[in-house]
Amino acid sequence: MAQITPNTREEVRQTVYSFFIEECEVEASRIHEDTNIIRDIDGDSLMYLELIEIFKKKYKLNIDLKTIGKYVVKHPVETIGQLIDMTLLIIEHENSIVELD
Amino acid sequence: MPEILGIGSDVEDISRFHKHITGSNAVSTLISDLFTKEEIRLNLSFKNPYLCFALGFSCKESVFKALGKSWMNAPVTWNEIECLFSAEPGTGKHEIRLSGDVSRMLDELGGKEIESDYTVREDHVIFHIIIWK
Repeated sequence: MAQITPNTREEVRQTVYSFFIEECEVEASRIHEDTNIIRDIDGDSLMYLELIEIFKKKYKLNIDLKTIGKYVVKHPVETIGQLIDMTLLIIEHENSIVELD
Repeated sequence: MPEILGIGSDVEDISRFHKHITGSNAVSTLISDLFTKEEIRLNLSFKNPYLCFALGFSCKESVFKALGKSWMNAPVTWNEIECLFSAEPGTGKHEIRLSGDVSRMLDELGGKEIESDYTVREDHVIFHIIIWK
C-alpha cells in the first residue's frame, strides 16, 4: 500500500492519458476525465488489463484481477476519470479495496 | 430442440501479443495472470505463440460474453477459462475447460455444453462460442 499525494494523482493521470493516446491512437484533446473508454475511444479489455499491469509494476502492488472484478461490480469503471479514481484506491488499499464502500 | 444459453464472439489483433512474449520461454506478468501454466507451456511450444495467445485471450473473452459477463462486472478469474490446443492452431483440435467460479457460473445459468470455433486471418483472430442449455 502507498500514501496518495497530489503528485501520485498527477502521475496516475499522466500515465493513463499517455497510455490511451498511444494505444487508441487518438489526439490528446480527445482524452479527458469524462471520456468513455469503450464508447469514445474504442478501448477494450486488453487495454484495461495492460494498464493495471503497468501500475502493479510501477507501485509494486499486491492486487488480484478477481479483486478488481469484485470492486467494479459495485463501482463501474467506464470513464477515464473513474479509472484514475479506482487506480488511486488500488494504490492506497491494494486487495483491501473490496472492503471499501 | 436444445436451447442456446448465450453466444459470444471476440476479435483480437495478433500483433498486440508480441510484446507479451519476452523470450523463447518467457511471457509477461500479464500473460502469467491471464493464462494457466498449461496454456502457457502449450502455446510457447507452437511455431506461432502470438497466434495461440491471441486465440486464447479471444476464447476467454468470448466465453465471458456468452455468459453475459465481463471481467469488469463479475468477480471471475481469467485462468478459470482454459483454451488448450492439441496441435498448431488450425491443424488440430482445441479444448475449452472451465473451473472455479466460472464453472459454477455456467452451472447456475444452466449451461451444459460449450461449442466453439475460430477463424485465423492474416493479422487477427475471431473466436465464437455458443453455450447450450
